[in-house]
Order: sequence, then C-alpha cells, then structure tokens
Amino acid sequence: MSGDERERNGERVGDLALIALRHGRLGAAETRDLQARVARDPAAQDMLADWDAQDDALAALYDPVVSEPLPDRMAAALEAARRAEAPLRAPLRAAARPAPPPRARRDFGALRRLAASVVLVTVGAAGGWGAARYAPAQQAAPMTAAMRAHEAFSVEKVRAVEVTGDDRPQLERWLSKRLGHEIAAPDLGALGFRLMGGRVLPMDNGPMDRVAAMFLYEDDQGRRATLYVAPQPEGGETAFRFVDKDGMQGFWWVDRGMGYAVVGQFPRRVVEDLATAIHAQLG
Amino acid sequence: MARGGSGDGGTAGVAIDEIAALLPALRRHARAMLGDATAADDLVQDVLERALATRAQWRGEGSLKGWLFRIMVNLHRDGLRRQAARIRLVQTEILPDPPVSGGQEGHLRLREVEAAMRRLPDEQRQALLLVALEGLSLSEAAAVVDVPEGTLVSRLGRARAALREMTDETPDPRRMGRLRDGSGPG
Repeated sequence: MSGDERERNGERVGDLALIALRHGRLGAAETRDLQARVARDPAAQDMLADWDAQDDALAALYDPVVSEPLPDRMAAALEAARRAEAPLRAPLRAAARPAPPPRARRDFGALRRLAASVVLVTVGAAGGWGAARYAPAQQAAPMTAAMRAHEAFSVEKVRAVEVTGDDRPQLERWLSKRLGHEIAAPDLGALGFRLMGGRVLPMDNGPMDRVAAMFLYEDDQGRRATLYVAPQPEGGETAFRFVDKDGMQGFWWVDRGMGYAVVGQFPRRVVEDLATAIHAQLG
Repeated sequence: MARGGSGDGGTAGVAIDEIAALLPALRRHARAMLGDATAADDLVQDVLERALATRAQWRGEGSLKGWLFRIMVNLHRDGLRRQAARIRLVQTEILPDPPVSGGQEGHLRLREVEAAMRRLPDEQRQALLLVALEGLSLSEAAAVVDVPEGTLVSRLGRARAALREMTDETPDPRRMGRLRDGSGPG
C-alpha cells in the first residue's frame, strides 16, 4: 500500500494537515482528532519534532539581528519624520500669513493628509471643469480623458482590461514600452484595492505616436478605481487638483512630463488617499 | 493622522514610534531573506522610508506588522525583478552543496540549516520565515505575500520538507515519500 493510500485510509497524517494543526487553523474537535492520529503515527511525530528543531535553528541563526543597534540612517529617517510632523501640527506657518482663525484649525486634519507641498483645489460638481482655470488648458487634459476612460471601462465586468494584473511584471513591461516611460503599477493593497490589470488608450490630443495607459483597481466590494497615465509633452509639474463631476471624483497632477489622474466613484477622502499613495509610490 | 497624537480628530494612519518598534523584526526578516547584512538593511531602509511617507494612509486593516512586511515583500520583489536572471543563476548553479554533517549538533548544524535556507526558492524561504520566525498566522502571511492561504500552506510545506531533506544526514526513504505537494501553485 502506498503512502498516499495509507493517508487516505487515515493511517497517516498528511503534511498539510500537520501544518494546519501546528499553526492553529483547526477547530477544537478537529485538533483533538488529529492529535489522536498523530499519537498513532510515529512518522508524523518525527516530523513535528523536526519542525521544532528547524524553528529553533532559525531563531538561533536570525534572532541576534533583533538586538543589534539600529543603523544611523534608520534612526535619522525616524528623526526626520518626527521633526516633519511637528510643524504640521502648528497653524499654516508655511503660508506666511496671519494665523488662521480657530475654525480653520479644526479643518486641518484634512490638510495634513496631503504632503506639505501639495495644494488642494476643490471644484464643486456644478463647476464642471473649473479646475482648468488654475492650470494651462493642456494640463486639464489628463482629467478629462481619465474620467472618460473610467466611465467607459470601469463598468465592464469581463473585458475591463487588456492585460490582467496576475502577471504584474508583464503588464508593467508592456505599458512602460507603449508609454515610452518606465512605470510600475502602484500597489494599493494597503488601501484595500487589488490591481485588476491595465490597457492602452489613445490620447485625446498630443503627438500621434504617443498613447496613454490605464490601470484598473477593484476593492473587495467590487468598486473600481482607475489610474490614468499620459505623457504631457510640455512637461511641468502641478500640485494635486481635485475634480468632482457627475458623481466621479478625481485627483490629477503632472510630474516630470507625465500626467496622472486617479478616478473613482467614492467619497473624496478615498480618492484622495489613493492619489496620495500613488503619488508617493511613483515619486 | 498619528494615533496618540494631539487629539485633533485624525483617526487613520500610524504613529512613528509604532513603526520604529517593528524595525528589529523587519531587519531580522530581511537578513534571513537576503543573507547579506548590508543588502538587508538597504531593503529595510527603503521599507522605513516608504512606510513613513505613506503611514497616513494606513487604515488599520490587519496588523501594522503585516502592512510593513507587505511593503517589504513588494520592494524586495521589485528589486529581484530588476536583477532576476542573475539571482536565479546564483541560487541554482553556483552555491555549493551544503556541507555534510558529521552528526555534530550545535554550530555545524546551524551552518547546515543556513546553507539549506539559502538554497530554498525565495517564496518558500519567505513563507517559512514569516510563519516560523516572525510568528504570523497562515492567513496573515498569505496576505503579506498576496497569495491564497492554500498556496502559502503549500509553500510552507515544501519549505519544511526541503529543509528537512537538505539537513538530514541519513535520508530516510519513508520521509522521501512524504515530499509531495511539489506541483502545487506558486
């Protein structure tokens, strides 16, 4: 009788069952049952003892790292972050104007969520593309195109993307090549969004040989957010701009010749967090 | 944004001190993953800077440790991607066989385990370290490396079996028969 047969007949405890047992994945009844089977299975006992020895060896090898002093550069990074946090708690000092009234201070939590260098421009739904007033017309383009792309593709259940996010390196290579600009798909897992994939899009304006790219993300409730990336031939840099149109919320900015726009039908706070995270990762 | 901050209404995000407290564990994991102390601290430095820059966005899903390890796994993967071919060659072709143990316990045995760890595929070594050394639950570890829990369990099983095989001075055919799950995902 082979080992597999013995395992099926319940005479031998399989490796995966042992892992589940050892790492507490089983209910009380299952645990008791499996422990009883292990008690009748010398090979399983042997294996568990070996795993204990492995864990002891790993601890002996690597635990000493924990008591090593922190490298100076890590301590310096922590210190810099602590220093940077302090001015943010103070009134808008950097703006070089009189201290804001108390009401403005209460709103400061929202401002602090953005990096200190970022300027927030809010445009009401009725304002349409009012954001363009604050920037050259050309630079409003990423948001217009991004919202059209979001509208067109975020509703697609099956064919929303051309290349799925399962093979992230391939997706990134492909879109980088088409964009003519190295780009990594931002990881938004920490915000609960999974990369579904991406696609190439024609540009509304700009040189014929340039294209735009879109990354599509989805959260566990099936809500979708898109990141639209398009070359901005005239370059320049902008602060974050916020646009609210027909229930879609978007943030966009231009950085080193590329325009980025994040769009979703979420509370503004969520899109803002996505945009901030993407900005930090692409930076 | 910082918990325990000045109480001005921010709820999301994480305090700098909470990140600092997890740096030793991050360094341990990086050292065990990469082997080289300088490369490991380079990676942890990147993780630290990324975490400090994006800590306002952390919403407290899962543990902070899980979030930081996830950042590390992603940065490490990005780094590997850039030099994938070279790394793979080193791992499979150049490293010598682990020394044959004379049956002595202690130092020699540790060196043997260390050599065996170096020979494990990255993802198996990662799974083993996250669970066995860092004490993450199976589901936490699966979330950190962004695979289904079954895949994580399978990698962990293969890592343990391979490590056992490589450090076992008297191969036992009964044990060989247990080296299964080799065709599982990832």
